[in-house]
Amino acid sequence: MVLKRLLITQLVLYTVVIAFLAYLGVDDFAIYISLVTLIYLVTIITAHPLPPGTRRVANVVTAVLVAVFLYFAITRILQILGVAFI
Amino acid sequence: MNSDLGISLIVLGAGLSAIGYLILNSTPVLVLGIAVLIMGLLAAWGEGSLDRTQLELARSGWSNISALLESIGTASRAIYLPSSATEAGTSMALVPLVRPEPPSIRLPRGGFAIRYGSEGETGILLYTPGSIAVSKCLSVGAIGGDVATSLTNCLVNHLTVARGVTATPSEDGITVVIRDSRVGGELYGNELTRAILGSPTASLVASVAAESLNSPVVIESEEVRGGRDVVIRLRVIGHGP
Repeated sequence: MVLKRLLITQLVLYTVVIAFLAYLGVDDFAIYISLVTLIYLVTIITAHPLPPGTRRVANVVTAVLVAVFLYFAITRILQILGVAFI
Repeated sequence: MNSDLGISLIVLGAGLSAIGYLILNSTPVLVLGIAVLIMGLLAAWGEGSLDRTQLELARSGWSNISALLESIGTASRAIYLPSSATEAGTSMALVPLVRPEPPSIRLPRGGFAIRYGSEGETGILLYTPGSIAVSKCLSVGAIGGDVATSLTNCLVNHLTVARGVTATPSEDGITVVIRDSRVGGELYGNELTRAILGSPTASLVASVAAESLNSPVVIESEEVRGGRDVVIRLRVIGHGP
């Protein structure tokens, strides 16, 4: 039941946010993935405590999404600072 | 991974991502695919884990029954009775303590340790997983006079605990093959209860068969074939009272 509620909430939020960004004409992958990460983290925290099987996968997915988000964030900050990187 | 829903979402998410990236060249579709893929991962590993925990918690009741049977010292196979054989009108299992004889009277309501035979036979009357299955299936009319149809209607169509059922009449009994049973053995593990009542899958099959035939039934043997099929041999003993 916990998992069902979590999946329905995530599906609704992902669809609404992605559809809205597409409507605004946003084409930047970094913005999409940042918002998906935000929605994912918020929904996972509100669904606490998760069943044991889901908890392990949720932790792995969180780590991957945060790593991707950090990559884009650091890239943008370096661009703003004018630091060239390889 | 134990969930069809999870795998379906993973495949759908991967497909959406590929279409969005390679064909449509659309970021929203690509990200939607990634989001669905993430949901699939959560569903694939998470679904059913809470149910398994609840099943394990519920095992204490069966451990008590097992201890009780062990202290009595019985090792007879249970006789699965149709609902017409009990005054409560519920399909139950009778564990004979002396001789494995089917009862000749309707078993009284509210009894646990009961005396049922003309020669003072005694036994223990138990509710089993099959009792619940039969009452659920009777309420929707899924059990009739034909065993094969009743098993399919009840276990596959109504309870959805198996993918398919084949029932073949054999000498003084029925051989039932259950394909892809979804009823795990966690309910009462490998305790004495299992030796007496059979596995949860066999209990369901025996109860439904007894109800359909309106005759007491005993599980003669059960074996797993090819890792997916469970072959259960039932012996029909006499006719209901």
